[in-house]
Amino acid sequence: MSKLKKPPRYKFLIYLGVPLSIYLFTVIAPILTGGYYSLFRWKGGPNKTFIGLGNYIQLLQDGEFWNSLKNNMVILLFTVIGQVVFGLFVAVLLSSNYLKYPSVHRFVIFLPVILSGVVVGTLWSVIFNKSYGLLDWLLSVLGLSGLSRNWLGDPDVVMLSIGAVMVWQQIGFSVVIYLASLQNIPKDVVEMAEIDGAGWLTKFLYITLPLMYNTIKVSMILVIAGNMKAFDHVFTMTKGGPGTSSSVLTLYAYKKSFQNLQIGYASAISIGTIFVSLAIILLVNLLMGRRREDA
Amino acid sequence: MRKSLPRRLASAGARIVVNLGMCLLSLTAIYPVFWMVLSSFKDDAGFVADPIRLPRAWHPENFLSAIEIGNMRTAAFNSLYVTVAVVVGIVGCSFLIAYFLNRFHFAGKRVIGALFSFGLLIPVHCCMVALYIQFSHFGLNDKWYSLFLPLTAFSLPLSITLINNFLSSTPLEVEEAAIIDGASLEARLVRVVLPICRPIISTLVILNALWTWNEFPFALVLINNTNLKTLPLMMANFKTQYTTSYTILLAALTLCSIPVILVYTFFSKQIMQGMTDGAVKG
Repeated sequence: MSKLKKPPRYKFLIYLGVPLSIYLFTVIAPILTGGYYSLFRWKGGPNKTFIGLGNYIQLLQDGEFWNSLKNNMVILLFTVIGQVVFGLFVAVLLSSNYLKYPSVHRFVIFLPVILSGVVVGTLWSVIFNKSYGLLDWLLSVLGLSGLSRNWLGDPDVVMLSIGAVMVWQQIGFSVVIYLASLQNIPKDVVEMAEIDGAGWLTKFLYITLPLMYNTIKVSMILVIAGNMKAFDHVFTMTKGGPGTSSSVLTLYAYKKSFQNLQIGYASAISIGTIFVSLAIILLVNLLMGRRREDA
Repeated sequence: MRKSLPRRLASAGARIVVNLGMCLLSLTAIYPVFWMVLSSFKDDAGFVADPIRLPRAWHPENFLSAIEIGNMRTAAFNSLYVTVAVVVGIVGCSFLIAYFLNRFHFAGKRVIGALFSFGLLIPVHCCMVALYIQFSHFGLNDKWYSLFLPLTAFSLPLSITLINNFLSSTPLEVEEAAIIDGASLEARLVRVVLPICRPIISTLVILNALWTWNEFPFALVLINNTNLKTLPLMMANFKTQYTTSYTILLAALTLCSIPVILVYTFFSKQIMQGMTDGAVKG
């Protein structure tokens, strides 16, 4: 494409330079200074001690860091199963010809997506409440009171509870992405398959899945990128508790810097988190290939 | 074409399974929200006695208490002006940057593009600590304008990508005609390019308004003054400061959610469309 004639230099400086410097100042500079701080032992005061990679070495031996990383992975597992796999199932149901009022269902399924994470986290911490929460009431009505747990206070189930809430809120997002892609599947291909006598499972496995491969990959990357920064839900529901059993990386960095004032170490956690999430996205790209031709 | 009896029975069965399953799923999605709204009209005794029945007596005064306790008038005002300012900032900045990246060749263009692609990949919350240090160094923390820069800047990568993609599919001829007519760069931007970009810009306005309204971590780190707190930040404190009355807490949650639910009711198509575009094309 031929480009337009360049405007004079001073217009570049004003129209491109000003917005660009906002980005450089607020996004790029903190990443660089964060990398720099991570090389120091620094409590936020005037004394900084250069310790090279000391913080990173400490990080590798820090049980709470690994625990937070593990919790991030647990959340990833839950949300990938809940949003990517189960979400696809919901989208297929929603696009079924048998379904009445599909737009009402779509409206309702997507509604939690637009609520703030703080509202959702706070609401669910009331729902999980032992004595008058909705969940235990439902279990007792179904005669399943034996399943009742201290949902947010028991280290064994707390990640399950948090993961469930995140899936509850975000599943509509994946569903709507899938629906858009399902509508792009050519009708005649499906009809041909039906004439050949293909059942719904055959159609799903041999038409829907292959044609949606790229969308599934995109939604996978979105789910992963979105959940590496999981913070609002955990902060409002448990603050990482009980103890440190539901801590996640962003919350761990937040606590180290704003409660323990270990700025250098917290910066190392942040930089480590950046590397971990880049590595995971790279891994997904490698595993799922680079097919881009289908939409 | 008439189907045989077994086939019709099978399809009736499928019809029931699909509709029933979907109703169950929709109920799971909506009931907690409905429960939140309903419970916020109860008094605590009624709420504890039976969590799901309709209120025996309606207590709309819960909302007044929530507004008082949570300082919610101020918080709502703060959320509103931060959202408006940030959305204007995002649209203005991303429009200009995307236009220059898309329409001109210049030195450093690839570097600038790479910086924004990088911003698209990294989890933004990782800069929080260093950003806080930097902001305190310049005295930018805990001011009425503190949230403007980070919330604008961190939304730029996606917004720029979307406008850039959109511009790539628009023809240059109209602009070239405007140049021949002697229009300046500014006149072209405002009168020609901006109107062309209207669809993508309205998508960006809706998406960024929702994100900014709901944003929590930056507000938590950068704002301390009670009079500057946004709604999500106020909500997070509401729970820790005032846990004795759950119905008032739920009333506060309901009040926080009403604006977004209203916007969603009117613009649900655009919001879903916008999020899908943002996801798939971003």
